[in-house]
Amino acid sequence: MQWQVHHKKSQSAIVGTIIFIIAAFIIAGVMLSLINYNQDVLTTQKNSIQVQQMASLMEKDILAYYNYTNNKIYINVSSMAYPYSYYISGISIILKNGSYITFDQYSRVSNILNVIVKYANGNQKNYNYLPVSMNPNSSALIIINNINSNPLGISISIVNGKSIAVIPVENLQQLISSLIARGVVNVVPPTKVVYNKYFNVTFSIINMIWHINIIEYQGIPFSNSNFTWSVSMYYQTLSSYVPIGGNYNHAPNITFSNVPSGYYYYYNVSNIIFPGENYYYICYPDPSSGIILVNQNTLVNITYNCYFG
Amino acid sequence: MINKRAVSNIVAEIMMILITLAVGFTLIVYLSSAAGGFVSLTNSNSNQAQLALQQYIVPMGSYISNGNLYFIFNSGPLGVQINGVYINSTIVNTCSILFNKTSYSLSHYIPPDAVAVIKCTNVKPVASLVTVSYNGGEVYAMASPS
Repeated sequence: MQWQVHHKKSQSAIVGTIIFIIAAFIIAGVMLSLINYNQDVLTTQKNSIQVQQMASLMEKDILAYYNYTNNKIYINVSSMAYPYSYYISGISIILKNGSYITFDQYSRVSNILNVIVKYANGNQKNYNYLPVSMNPNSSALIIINNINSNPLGISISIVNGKSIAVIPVENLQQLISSLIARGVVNVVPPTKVVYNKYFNVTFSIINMIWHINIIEYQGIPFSNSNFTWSVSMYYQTLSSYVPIGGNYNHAPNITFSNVPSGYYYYYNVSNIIFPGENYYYICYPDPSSGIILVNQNTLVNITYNCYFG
Repeated sequence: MINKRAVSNIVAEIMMILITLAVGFTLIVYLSSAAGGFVSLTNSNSNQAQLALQQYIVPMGSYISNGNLYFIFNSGPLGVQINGVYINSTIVNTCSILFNKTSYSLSHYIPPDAVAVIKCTNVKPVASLVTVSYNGGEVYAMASPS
Protein backbone atom coordinates (compact mmCIF):
# COMPACT_ATOMS: atom_id res chain seq x y z
CA MET A 1 0.00 0.00 0.00
CA GLN A 2 2.96 2.32 0.59
CA TRP A 3 3.63 3.00 -3.15
CA GLN A 4 -0.04 3.95 -3.65
CA VAL A 5 0.27 6.69 -0.98
CA HIS A 6 3.47 7.94 -2.64
CA HIS A 7 1.72 7.97 -6.02
CA LYS A 8 -1.14 10.19 -4.63
CA LYS A 9 1.39 12.69 -3.24
CA SER A 10 3.07 12.81 -6.66
CA GLN A 11 -0.24 13.48 -8.43
CA SER A 12 -1.08 16.27 -5.94
CA ALA A 13 2.29 17.95 -6.63
CA ILE A 14 1.71 17.80 -10.36
CA VAL A 15 -1.74 19.38 -10.04
CA GLY A 16 -0.25 22.10 -7.81
CA THR A 17 2.49 22.82 -10.32
CA ILE A 18 -0.02 23.03 -13.15
CA ILE A 19 -2.23 25.46 -11.23
CA PHE A 20 0.78 27.55 -10.23
CA ILE A 21 2.14 27.81 -13.78
CA ILE A 22 -1.26 28.64 -15.27
CA ALA A 23 -1.86 31.26 -12.56
CA ALA A 24 1.57 32.78 -13.22
CA PHE A 25 0.82 33.05 -16.95
CA ILE A 26 -2.57 34.65 -16.30
CA ILE A 27 -1.17 37.16 -13.81
CA ALA A 28 1.71 38.02 -16.16
CA GLY A 29 -0.69 38.62 -19.06
CA VAL A 30 -3.02 40.83 -17.04
CA MET A 31 -0.14 42.79 -15.49
CA LEU A 32 1.35 43.55 -18.92
CA SER A 33 -1.99 44.88 -20.16
CA LEU A 34 -2.49 47.00 -17.02
CA ILE A 35 0.98 48.53 -17.34
CA ASN A 36 0.26 49.57 -20.92
CA TYR A 37 -3.11 51.05 -19.92
CA ASN A 38 -1.57 52.96 -17.04
CA GLN A 39 1.05 54.48 -19.32
CA ASP A 40 -1.70 55.69 -21.67
CA VAL A 41 -3.54 57.34 -18.78
CA LEU A 42 -0.35 59.01 -17.54
CA THR A 43 0.44 60.33 -21.01
CA THR A 44 -3.08 61.78 -21.30
CA GLN A 45 -2.80 63.50 -17.91
CA LYS A 46 0.62 64.92 -18.81
CA ASN A 47 -0.71 66.32 -22.09
CA SER A 48 -3.66 67.89 -20.29
CA ILE A 49 -1.37 69.69 -17.80
CA GLN A 50 0.85 70.97 -20.64
CA VAL A 51 -2.22 72.32 -22.46
CA GLN A 52 -3.32 74.24 -19.35
CA GLN A 53 0.16 75.64 -18.72
CA MET A 54 0.50 76.86 -22.31
CA ALA A 55 -2.92 78.58 -22.21
CA SER A 56 -1.95 80.29 -18.97
CA LEU A 57 1.31 81.55 -20.52
CA MET A 58 -0.51 82.98 -23.52
CA GLU A 59 -3.02 84.81 -21.32
CA LYS A 60 -0.20 86.43 -19.37
CA ASP A 61 2.21 87.25 -22.15
CA ILE A 62 0.15 88.44 -25.09
CA LEU A 63 -1.15 91.98 -25.01
CA ALA A 64 -3.96 93.41 -27.12
CA TYR A 65 -5.62 96.81 -27.23
CA TYR A 66 -7.99 98.57 -29.59
CA ASN A 67 -8.81 102.01 -30.87
CA TYR A 68 -12.10 102.94 -32.56
CA THR A 69 -11.96 105.84 -35.03
CA ASN A 70 -13.70 106.71 -38.29
CA ASN A 71 -15.93 103.61 -38.24
CA LYS A 72 -12.89 101.39 -37.98
CA ILE A 73 -11.63 99.28 -35.15
CA TYR A 74 -7.86 98.97 -34.90
CA ILE A 75 -6.68 96.09 -32.75
CA ASN A 76 -3.02 95.75 -31.92
CA VAL A 77 -1.80 92.32 -30.84
CA SER A 78 1.76 92.00 -29.64
CA SER A 79 3.91 89.80 -27.52
CA MET A 80 7.39 90.77 -26.52
CA ALA A 81 7.49 88.07 -23.88
CA TYR A 82 5.71 84.99 -25.24
CA PRO A 83 8.49 82.88 -26.79
CA TYR A 84 6.41 80.54 -28.96
CA SER A 85 4.48 80.78 -32.19
CA TYR A 86 0.71 80.90 -32.03
CA TYR A 87 -2.38 81.54 -34.15
CA ILE A 88 -5.00 84.25 -33.90
CA SER A 89 -8.00 81.97 -34.38
CA GLY A 90 -11.04 84.09 -33.55
CA ILE A 91 -12.31 87.62 -32.99
CA SER A 92 -15.44 88.62 -31.12
CA ILE A 93 -16.80 92.16 -31.02
CA ILE A 94 -19.87 93.28 -29.07
CA LEU A 95 -21.27 96.60 -30.23
CA LYS A 96 -23.24 99.21 -28.33
CA ASN A 97 -26.24 98.87 -30.68
CA GLY A 98 -26.76 95.30 -29.45
CA SER A 99 -25.22 93.51 -32.40
CA TYR A 100 -22.04 91.49 -32.54
CA ILE A 101 -19.41 90.52 -35.08
CA THR A 102 -17.35 87.36 -35.07
CA PHE A 103 -14.57 86.03 -37.24
CA ASP A 104 -13.06 82.56 -37.31
CA GLN A 105 -11.62 80.10 -39.80
CA TYR A 106 -15.12 79.18 -40.96
CA SER A 107 -16.00 82.78 -41.84
CA ARG A 108 -13.95 82.55 -45.04
CA VAL A 109 -12.48 85.64 -46.65
CA SER A 110 -14.01 88.86 -45.32
CA ASN A 111 -13.85 92.21 -47.07
CA ILE A 112 -14.19 94.10 -43.79
CA LEU A 113 -11.29 92.30 -42.10
CA ASN A 114 -7.67 93.20 -42.69
CA VAL A 115 -4.90 91.68 -40.60
CA ILE A 116 -1.43 93.11 -41.09
CA VAL A 117 1.24 90.97 -39.50
CA LYS A 118 4.61 92.53 -38.93
CA TYR A 119 7.30 89.92 -38.43
CA ALA A 120 10.44 90.27 -36.36
CA ASN A 121 12.59 90.68 -39.49
CA GLY A 122 10.52 93.70 -40.55
CA ASN A 123 8.52 91.91 -43.28
CA GLN A 124 4.80 92.50 -43.44
CA LYS A 125 1.98 90.31 -44.73
CA ASN A 126 -1.72 91.08 -45.13
CA TYR A 127 -4.60 88.67 -44.55
CA ASN A 128 -8.35 89.03 -44.72
CA TYR A 129 -9.19 85.74 -43.11
CA LEU A 130 -8.37 83.72 -40.02
CA PRO A 131 -6.44 81.96 -38.62
CA VAL A 132 -3.31 84.04 -38.84
CA SER A 133 0.04 82.64 -37.78
CA MET A 134 2.18 84.69 -35.42
CA ASN A 135 5.87 84.05 -34.89
CA PRO A 136 7.68 85.05 -31.70
CA ASN A 137 8.22 88.82 -31.53
CA SER A 138 5.81 89.48 -34.39
CA SER A 139 2.87 91.83 -33.95
CA ALA A 140 -0.44 92.20 -35.75
CA LEU A 141 -2.62 95.15 -36.55
CA ILE A 142 -6.21 93.99 -37.11
CA ILE A 143 -8.40 96.52 -38.91
CA ILE A 144 -12.16 95.96 -39.04
CA ASN A 145 -14.00 98.31 -41.35
CA ASN A 146 -17.59 99.55 -41.54
CA ILE A 147 -18.29 99.51 -37.82
CA ASN A 148 -21.09 101.97 -37.18
CA SER A 149 -21.42 101.57 -33.44
CA ASN A 150 -19.03 101.86 -30.53
CA PRO A 151 -17.53 98.58 -29.45
CA LEU A 152 -18.40 97.54 -25.89
CA GLY A 153 -16.23 94.47 -25.60
CA ILE A 154 -13.64 92.87 -27.85
CA SER A 155 -11.78 89.64 -27.34
CA ILE A 156 -9.53 87.52 -29.49
CA SER A 157 -8.89 83.81 -29.17
CA ILE A 158 -5.39 82.52 -29.69
CA VAL A 159 -4.23 78.95 -30.14
CA ASN A 160 -1.04 77.05 -29.61
CA GLY A 161 -1.50 73.35 -30.31
CA LYS A 162 -4.37 72.20 -28.12
CA SER A 163 -4.19 75.29 -25.91
CA ILE A 164 -6.67 78.07 -26.42
CA ALA A 165 -6.69 81.33 -24.53
CA VAL A 166 -8.95 84.33 -24.85
CA ILE A 167 -7.28 87.73 -24.60
CA PRO A 168 -9.55 90.59 -23.59
CA VAL A 169 -8.73 93.52 -25.85
CA GLU A 170 -8.27 96.67 -23.79
CA ASN A 171 -9.58 100.04 -24.83
CA LEU A 172 -6.50 102.02 -25.86
CA GLN A 173 -7.98 105.38 -24.87
CA GLN A 174 -8.82 104.14 -21.39
CA LEU A 175 -5.41 102.52 -21.12
CA ILE A 176 -3.65 105.71 -22.16
CA SER A 177 -5.72 107.80 -19.74
CA SER A 178 -4.79 105.44 -16.99
CA LEU A 179 -1.13 105.54 -17.98
CA ILE A 180 -1.06 109.33 -18.26
CA ALA A 181 -2.69 109.65 -14.86
CA ARG A 182 -0.29 107.28 -13.20
CA GLY A 183 2.89 107.88 -15.14
CA VAL A 184 4.37 104.42 -15.20
CA VAL A 185 2.04 101.50 -14.88
CA ASN A 186 2.92 97.91 -14.37
CA VAL A 187 0.17 96.14 -16.29
CA VAL A 188 -0.13 92.39 -15.55
CA PRO A 189 3.52 91.43 -15.71
CA PRO A 190 4.30 88.88 -18.40
CA THR A 191 6.14 85.77 -17.29
CA LYS A 192 9.24 86.26 -19.38
CA VAL A 193 9.78 89.89 -18.51
CA VAL A 194 13.30 90.79 -17.49
CA TYR A 195 13.24 92.72 -14.22
CA ASN A 196 15.89 94.75 -12.46
CA LYS A 197 17.75 95.63 -15.61
CA TYR A 198 18.05 98.89 -17.48
CA PHE A 199 17.69 99.37 -21.21
CA ASN A 200 17.80 102.17 -23.74
CA VAL A 201 14.70 103.27 -25.62
CA THR A 202 15.58 105.11 -28.82
CA PHE A 203 13.25 107.12 -31.03
CA SER A 204 14.37 107.59 -34.59
CA ILE A 205 12.90 109.56 -37.50
CA ILE A 206 12.88 107.18 -40.46
CA ASN A 207 10.93 109.32 -42.92
CA MET A 208 9.36 112.72 -43.46
CA ILE A 209 6.56 112.73 -46.02
CA TRP A 210 5.68 116.11 -47.50
CA HIS A 211 2.03 116.14 -48.56
CA ILE A 212 2.57 119.27 -50.63
CA ASN A 213 3.82 119.73 -54.17
CA ILE A 214 7.48 119.96 -55.01
CA ILE A 215 7.46 123.65 -55.99
CA GLU A 216 5.99 124.63 -52.68
CA TYR A 217 8.33 122.29 -50.91
CA GLN A 218 11.33 123.85 -52.56
CA GLY A 219 9.99 127.25 -51.78
CA ILE A 220 9.72 126.69 -48.08
CA PRO A 221 11.34 129.71 -46.51
CA PHE A 222 12.75 127.96 -43.53
CA SER A 223 14.12 130.31 -40.97
CA ASN A 224 17.75 130.03 -40.26
CA SER A 225 17.59 127.58 -37.41
CA ASN A 226 17.10 123.92 -36.64
CA PHE A 227 13.67 122.52 -35.91
CA THR A 228 13.06 120.70 -32.69
CA TRP A 229 11.13 117.57 -32.00
CA SER A 230 10.75 115.92 -28.65
CA VAL A 231 9.55 112.75 -26.97
CA SER A 232 7.99 112.51 -23.52
CA MET A 233 8.38 109.25 -21.67
CA TYR A 234 9.18 108.06 -18.19
CA TYR A 235 8.78 111.44 -16.46
CA GLN A 236 11.12 113.12 -18.95
CA THR A 237 10.92 115.10 -22.16
CA LEU A 238 13.98 114.84 -24.37
CA SER A 239 14.50 116.98 -27.46
CA SER A 240 16.44 116.70 -30.64
CA TYR A 241 16.40 118.61 -33.90
CA VAL A 242 15.93 118.22 -37.61
CA PRO A 243 18.70 120.16 -39.37
CA ILE A 244 18.02 123.13 -41.61
CA GLY A 245 16.35 121.97 -44.79
CA GLY A 246 14.35 119.32 -43.01
CA ASN A 247 16.63 116.47 -43.95
CA TYR A 248 15.50 113.79 -41.57
CA ASN A 249 18.52 111.61 -42.40
CA HIS A 250 20.62 113.88 -40.22
CA ALA A 251 18.16 114.19 -37.37
CA PRO A 252 19.82 112.82 -34.27
CA ASN A 253 17.91 110.10 -32.43
CA ILE A 254 16.38 110.66 -29.03
CA THR A 255 17.48 108.06 -26.51
CA PHE A 256 16.14 107.46 -23.03
CA SER A 257 18.96 105.72 -21.21
CA ASN A 258 18.76 103.33 -18.29
CA VAL A 259 15.00 102.82 -18.37
CA PRO A 260 14.00 100.18 -15.79
CA SER A 261 12.90 96.96 -17.47
CA GLY A 262 9.70 95.03 -16.94
CA TYR A 263 7.27 97.94 -17.21
CA TYR A 264 4.97 99.40 -19.82
CA TYR A 265 5.62 103.03 -20.67
CA TYR A 266 3.47 105.58 -22.41
CA TYR A 267 5.30 107.85 -24.84
CA ASN A 268 4.22 110.93 -26.70
CA VAL A 269 6.01 112.39 -29.74
CA SER A 270 5.78 116.10 -30.54
CA ASN A 271 4.84 117.75 -33.82
CA ILE A 272 7.51 119.61 -35.77
CA ILE A 273 6.72 123.11 -36.94
CA PHE A 274 8.64 124.68 -39.80
CA PRO A 275 7.92 128.41 -39.60
CA GLY A 276 8.06 130.50 -42.76
CA GLU A 277 7.80 134.21 -43.38
CA ASN A 278 4.08 134.21 -44.21
CA TYR A 279 3.01 130.71 -43.34
CA TYR A 280 4.26 127.60 -41.67
CA TYR A 281 4.33 123.87 -42.17
CA ILE A 282 3.44 121.32 -39.54
CA CYS A 283 4.58 117.71 -39.39
CA TYR A 284 2.61 115.16 -37.40
CA PRO A 285 4.37 112.06 -36.03
CA ASP A 286 3.20 108.53 -36.72
CA PRO A 287 2.89 107.04 -34.19
CA SER A 288 2.22 110.14 -32.14
CA SER A 289 1.93 108.10 -28.96
CA GLY A 290 2.02 104.52 -27.87
CA ILE A 291 2.79 102.02 -25.20
CA ILE A 292 5.92 99.93 -25.07
CA LEU A 293 7.07 97.20 -22.78
CA VAL A 294 10.74 97.76 -22.03
CA ASN A 295 12.19 94.29 -21.97
CA GLN A 296 15.30 94.91 -24.07
CA ASN A 297 16.95 97.81 -25.89
CA THR A 298 14.07 99.17 -27.93
CA LEU A 299 13.91 101.20 -31.13
CA VAL A 300 10.76 103.14 -32.05
CA ASN A 301 10.63 104.37 -35.64
CA ILE A 302 8.79 107.61 -36.29
CA THR A 303 7.48 108.88 -39.62
CA TYR A 304 6.46 112.52 -39.90
CA ASN A 305 3.69 113.62 -42.27
CA CYS A 306 3.97 117.29 -43.19
CA TYR A 307 1.20 119.67 -44.32
CA PHE A 308 0.53 123.36 -44.61
CA GLY A 309 -0.16 124.76 -41.21
CA MET B 1 6.44 -4.61 -12.41
CA ILE B 2 7.82 -2.15 -9.87
CA ASN B 3 10.42 -0.86 -12.38
CA LYS B 4 7.82 -0.45 -15.13
CA ARG B 5 5.56 1.57 -12.75
CA ALA B 6 8.47 3.76 -11.74
CA VAL B 7 9.37 4.59 -15.34
CA SER B 8 5.71 5.21 -16.17
CA ASN B 9 5.41 7.74 -13.29
CA ILE B 10 8.42 9.78 -14.40
CA VAL B 11 7.30 9.77 -18.01
CA ALA B 12 3.80 10.69 -16.88
CA GLU B 13 5.13 13.60 -14.83
CA ILE B 14 7.31 14.89 -17.66
CA MET B 15 4.41 14.57 -20.05
CA MET B 16 2.11 16.34 -17.63
CA ILE B 17 4.56 19.21 -17.22
CA LEU B 18 5.02 19.45 -20.98
CA ILE B 19 1.27 19.40 -21.47
CA THR B 20 0.90 22.04 -18.74
CA LEU B 21 3.51 24.27 -20.39
CA ALA B 22 1.81 23.82 -23.74
CA VAL B 23 -1.57 24.67 -22.22
CA GLY B 24 0.06 27.61 -20.37
CA PHE B 25 1.57 29.02 -23.55
CA THR B 26 -1.68 28.53 -25.39
CA LEU B 27 -3.45 30.31 -22.53
CA ILE B 28 -1.08 33.27 -22.48
CA VAL B 29 -1.38 33.67 -26.23
CA TYR B 30 -5.15 33.53 -25.95
CA LEU B 31 -5.26 35.72 -22.85
CA SER B 32 -2.93 38.37 -24.18
CA SER B 33 -4.96 38.47 -27.35
CA ALA B 34 -8.26 38.57 -25.46
CA ALA B 35 -6.92 40.99 -22.83
CA GLY B 36 -5.34 43.07 -25.58
CA GLY B 37 -8.70 43.24 -27.32
CA PHE B 38 -10.41 44.09 -24.06
CA VAL B 39 -7.82 46.71 -23.13
CA SER B 40 -8.00 48.12 -26.62
CA LEU B 41 -11.80 48.31 -26.37
CA THR B 42 -11.53 49.82 -22.88
CA ASN B 43 -8.92 52.25 -24.13
CA SER B 44 -11.07 53.16 -27.07
CA ASN B 45 -14.09 53.74 -24.85
CA SER B 46 -11.91 55.46 -22.30
CA ASN B 47 -10.30 57.62 -24.98
CA GLN B 48 -13.69 58.59 -26.30
CA ALA B 49 -14.81 59.46 -22.78
CA GLN B 50 -11.57 61.32 -22.14
CA LEU B 51 -11.83 63.15 -25.44
CA ALA B 52 -15.36 64.17 -24.53
CA LEU B 53 -14.13 65.28 -21.12
CA GLN B 54 -11.24 67.16 -22.74
CA GLN B 55 -13.68 69.26 -24.73
CA TYR B 56 -13.54 72.78 -23.47
CA ILE B 57 -15.05 76.05 -24.53
CA VAL B 58 -13.65 79.46 -23.87
CA PRO B 59 -16.13 82.30 -23.31
CA MET B 60 -15.37 85.38 -25.42
CA GLY B 61 -18.25 87.61 -24.40
CA SER B 62 -21.83 87.63 -23.19
CA TYR B 63 -24.54 90.28 -23.01
CA ILE B 64 -28.28 90.86 -23.06
CA SER B 65 -29.92 93.09 -25.65
CA ASN B 66 -33.55 93.53 -26.73
CA GLY B 67 -34.67 90.58 -24.63
CA ASN B 68 -32.06 88.26 -26.13
CA LEU B 69 -29.08 86.78 -24.38
CA TYR B 70 -25.92 86.27 -26.42
CA PHE B 71 -23.04 84.09 -25.31
CA ILE B 72 -20.04 84.13 -27.67
CA PHE B 73 -17.47 81.38 -27.28
CA ASN B 74 -14.62 79.53 -28.94
CA SER B 75 -15.24 75.82 -29.38
CA GLY B 76 -11.72 74.69 -28.45
CA PRO B 77 -9.35 72.30 -30.20
CA LEU B 78 -11.65 69.28 -30.14
CA GLY B 79 -14.90 70.95 -30.99
CA VAL B 80 -17.71 70.85 -28.48
CA GLN B 81 -21.12 69.28 -28.01
CA ILE B 82 -23.33 71.94 -26.42
CA ASN B 83 -26.08 70.35 -24.37
CA GLY B 84 -27.94 73.05 -22.50
CA VAL B 85 -28.03 76.58 -21.16
CA TYR B 86 -29.01 77.74 -17.68
CA ILE B 87 -29.73 81.31 -16.68
CA ASN B 88 -29.43 81.88 -12.93
CA SER B 89 -29.48 78.09 -12.46
CA THR B 90 -32.74 77.63 -14.37
CA ILE B 91 -32.63 75.71 -17.62
CA VAL B 92 -33.72 77.73 -20.64
CA ASN B 93 -35.46 76.11 -23.60
CA THR B 94 -35.43 79.10 -25.92
CA CYS B 95 -31.78 78.85 -26.92
CA SER B 96 -30.18 78.11 -30.25
CA ILE B 97 -26.62 78.11 -31.55
CA LEU B 98 -25.57 80.41 -34.37
CA PHE B 99 -22.58 79.14 -36.24
CA ASN B 100 -21.34 79.99 -39.71
CA LYS B 101 -24.49 82.01 -40.46
CA THR B 102 -26.76 79.07 -39.61
CA SER B 103 -28.94 78.54 -36.54
CA TYR B 104 -29.08 75.13 -34.87
CA SER B 105 -31.21 73.89 -31.99
CA LEU B 106 -29.63 72.32 -28.91
CA SER B 107 -27.98 69.93 -28.46
CA HIS B 108 -25.51 70.53 -31.25
CA TYR B 109 -21.87 69.85 -32.07
CA ILE B 110 -19.63 72.77 -33.07
CA PRO B 111 -16.39 71.91 -34.92
CA PRO B 112 -12.94 72.81 -33.53
CA ASP B 113 -11.60 76.37 -33.27
CA ALA B 114 -14.89 77.97 -34.22
CA VAL B 115 -16.39 81.14 -32.81
CA ALA B 116 -20.07 80.43 -32.24
CA VAL B 117 -22.88 82.25 -30.48
CA ILE B 118 -25.62 80.92 -28.23
CA LYS B 119 -28.74 83.04 -28.47
CA CYS B 120 -31.60 82.71 -25.98
CA THR B 121 -34.80 84.67 -26.45
CA ASN B 122 -37.26 86.12 -23.88
CA VAL B 123 -34.58 86.91 -21.33
CA LYS B 124 -35.07 89.59 -18.66
CA PRO B 125 -32.73 92.57 -19.07
CA VAL B 126 -30.95 92.10 -15.76
CA ALA B 127 -27.41 90.96 -15.02
CA SER B 128 -27.55 87.17 -15.09
CA LEU B 129 -25.33 84.19 -14.49
CA VAL B 130 -25.17 82.05 -17.62
CA THR B 131 -24.17 78.41 -17.34
CA VAL B 132 -23.46 76.45 -20.50
CA SER B 133 -23.25 72.69 -20.18
CA TYR B 134 -21.31 70.69 -22.71
CA ASN B 135 -19.77 67.23 -22.90
CA GLY B 136 -16.60 68.35 -21.11
CA GLY B 137 -18.39 70.06 -18.21
CA GLU B 138 -19.84 73.49 -17.56
CA VAL B 139 -18.70 77.04 -18.07
CA TYR B 140 -20.02 80.18 -16.41
CA ALA B 141 -20.24 83.79 -17.52
CA MET B 142 -21.99 86.95 -16.40
CA ALA B 143 -24.22 88.64 -18.94
CA SER B 144 -25.26 92.24 -18.46
CA PRO B 145 -27.72 94.34 -20.45
CA SER B 146 -25.85 96.31 -23.10
